[in-house]
Amino acid sequence: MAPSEIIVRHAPTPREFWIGLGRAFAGALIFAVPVLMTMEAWALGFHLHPLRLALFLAVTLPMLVLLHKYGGFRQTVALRDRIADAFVAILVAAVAATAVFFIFGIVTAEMPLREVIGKIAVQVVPGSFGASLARAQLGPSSLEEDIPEPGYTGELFLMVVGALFLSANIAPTEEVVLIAYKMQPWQEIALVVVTLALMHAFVYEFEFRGSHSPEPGAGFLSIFFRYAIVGYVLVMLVNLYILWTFGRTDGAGFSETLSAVVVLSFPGALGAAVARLIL
Amino acid sequence: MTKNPAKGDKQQKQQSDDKGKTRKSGTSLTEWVVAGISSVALLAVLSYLVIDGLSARNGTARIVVLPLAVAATEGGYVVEFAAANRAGKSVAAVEIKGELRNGDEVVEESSATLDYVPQESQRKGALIFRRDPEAYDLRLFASGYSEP
Repeated sequence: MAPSEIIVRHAPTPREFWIGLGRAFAGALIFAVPVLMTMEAWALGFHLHPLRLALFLAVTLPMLVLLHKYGGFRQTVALRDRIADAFVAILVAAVAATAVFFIFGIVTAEMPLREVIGKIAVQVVPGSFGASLARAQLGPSSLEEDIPEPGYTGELFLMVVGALFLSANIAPTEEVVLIAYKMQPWQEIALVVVTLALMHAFVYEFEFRGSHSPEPGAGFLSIFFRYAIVGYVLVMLVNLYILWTFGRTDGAGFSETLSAVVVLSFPGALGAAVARLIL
Repeated sequence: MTKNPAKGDKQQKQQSDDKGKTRKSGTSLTEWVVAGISSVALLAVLSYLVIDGLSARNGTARIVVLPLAVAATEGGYVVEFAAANRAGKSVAAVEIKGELRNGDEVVEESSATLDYVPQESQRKGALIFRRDPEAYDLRLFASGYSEP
């Protein structure tokens, strides 16, 4: 009877699916609750350009499929299983957001369809990432040994996911633009330096849980340039995309946009640095 | 006290039964059903947003303010109104003004601000007057908005 334990882990029974679904709901709620309770995010639902919102949703799907290679709410190996998981994560996020919004009274039955769809669609992105991260966070740790170690591209991808996830939580708020207004150029430079230092330190210098050296024996400069610098540039690109999606770059000049990107890259970079640790 | 061995056996038996059924596929039928529903819903939402995005969006908001009810309270006469935005464009910080007129003369003015009026939607609010609006000519209109 003993060998059956090993096989069961790879063959999801309906019961395991329901447990995974429950975890996904928990993850969607825990990780999306800051956005669910942000006023600006509700307003984005109806004044966001519909094509940008559609693109944002469409981009989420392949990101989730890739993410499930390293995390996700159950053990998945084959591509088609990961696609199924990604769709489940999106549905879970949409159902969770709809339920919470109805209870909060943010979405009501009398509202026009466009407003309801917009409000929920904005929540689907952080929610579905939350649902996917749930297994890594809430699932049994015994499964972690089966997750493939990401290579260099994989590491960068996880950074992008981490940045996308944390930035999408913060980008809807007015505070990003307000902080950008308040900062002097030298303060912005300081923020870039601090962000880079934190990004490097969080992952490769401090001994966090699961912390690891991606390439044992590689020197400080090699790691710093190939992970922190490249990672930071990717984080900035992700944030530029998010700010554009949320209409924050419309009519803004170059320096104003850059300031907002630098400000949003602070949480984004923290997300990127920590993504590798929580996955 | 010893553990009840029967319970453990039953669980193990069930596990091995399930294993036999689902071992070959990595995804259970239930999950495929859920994933199928999700993909249809996502496709519908995406198509809806794309169609909405490609359809001509009116550049100016058309805001129509209609009075709903008047109630006499200790704090004055409360005139509830509904501001409807008939255009495909959302507006923010909508200033709603109300005037009580006696012929050409404006007897009393009042105003309120609505945070948002989304496209093709209506939002409700109220204006408060000291004089009875029933005795005068009540006019409600939007006097301005900002783009969100």
